[in-house]
Amino acid sequence: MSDPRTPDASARVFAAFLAARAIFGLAYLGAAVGRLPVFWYHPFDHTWELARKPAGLAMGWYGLTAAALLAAAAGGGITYLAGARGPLARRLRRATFVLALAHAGGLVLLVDFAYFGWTLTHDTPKPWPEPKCEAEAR
Amino acid sequence: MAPCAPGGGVLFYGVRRLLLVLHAGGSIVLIGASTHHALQMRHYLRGRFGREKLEKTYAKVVSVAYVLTFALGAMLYPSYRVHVRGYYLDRFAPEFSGLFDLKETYASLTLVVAVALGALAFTLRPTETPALVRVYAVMSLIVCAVVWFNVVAGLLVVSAHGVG
Repeated sequence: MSDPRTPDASARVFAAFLAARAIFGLAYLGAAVGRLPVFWYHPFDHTWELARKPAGLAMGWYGLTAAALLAAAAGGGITYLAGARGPLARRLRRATFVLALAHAGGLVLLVDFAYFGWTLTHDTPKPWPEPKCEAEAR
Repeated sequence: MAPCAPGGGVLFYGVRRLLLVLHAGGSIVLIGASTHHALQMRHYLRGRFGREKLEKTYAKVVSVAYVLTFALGAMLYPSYRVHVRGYYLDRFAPEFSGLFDLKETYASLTLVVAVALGALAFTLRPTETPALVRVYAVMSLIVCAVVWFNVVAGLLVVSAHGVG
């Protein structure tokens, strides 16, 4: 017989992932819009740089995704642990609470999709300079 | 494509074709599994859970295939970013640059949802928690839609300029 004070396992997993998804979306959006410092990868010299704007040619997707994943893992883990007992556990026993979490997570996802959908298709890329060969430089 | 030394020292450039084939292979598995999973949801939404075992298998395949395809794409990304986008698309076909950026961003945004499907396959008992089934079905549809978008976008980008 299950403990009446603890919620169903699937409700805890649901809540953890819904929280993680919402946090991921907020972190990704926040870091991109607010130009927060993230790790930039320099593909030519294989180095990383923590900056708002990189010096030279660099890729920001790795750092942005990793930062959002870390935040999501932390948020999801905390939600899962907090859902075992206490006030969150009591709320998770009600399906309406999990559904409310789902609505919040869905809203963040919708905002993410709309924001990035608009900005990335209306962004004018700046081409990288033509590479110079060593032979040409000599 | 690379005017100087092949690859210009870009990470994994030497195995870019192998990575592309594996990435495409993962996408094939993913689009099949996610579509089948989304189609299974029509039974769930009608309260019929007779194919639960099959549905859970699809959910686990979606989850694993998504993570593997995502990781392979991340490994291929430097070759694409430098030799496809950096030297070609941004200069000659910027609309495809935007399309690829959208694909990678949507893939990131849906990663947690795809992993959740796999995790919930172990814990969700649809007969006991019918209220959560609707959320689960929406998650499945989101993953399926994003996978379809990403496969089509990936094909279009490769049609504009491949990794060589």
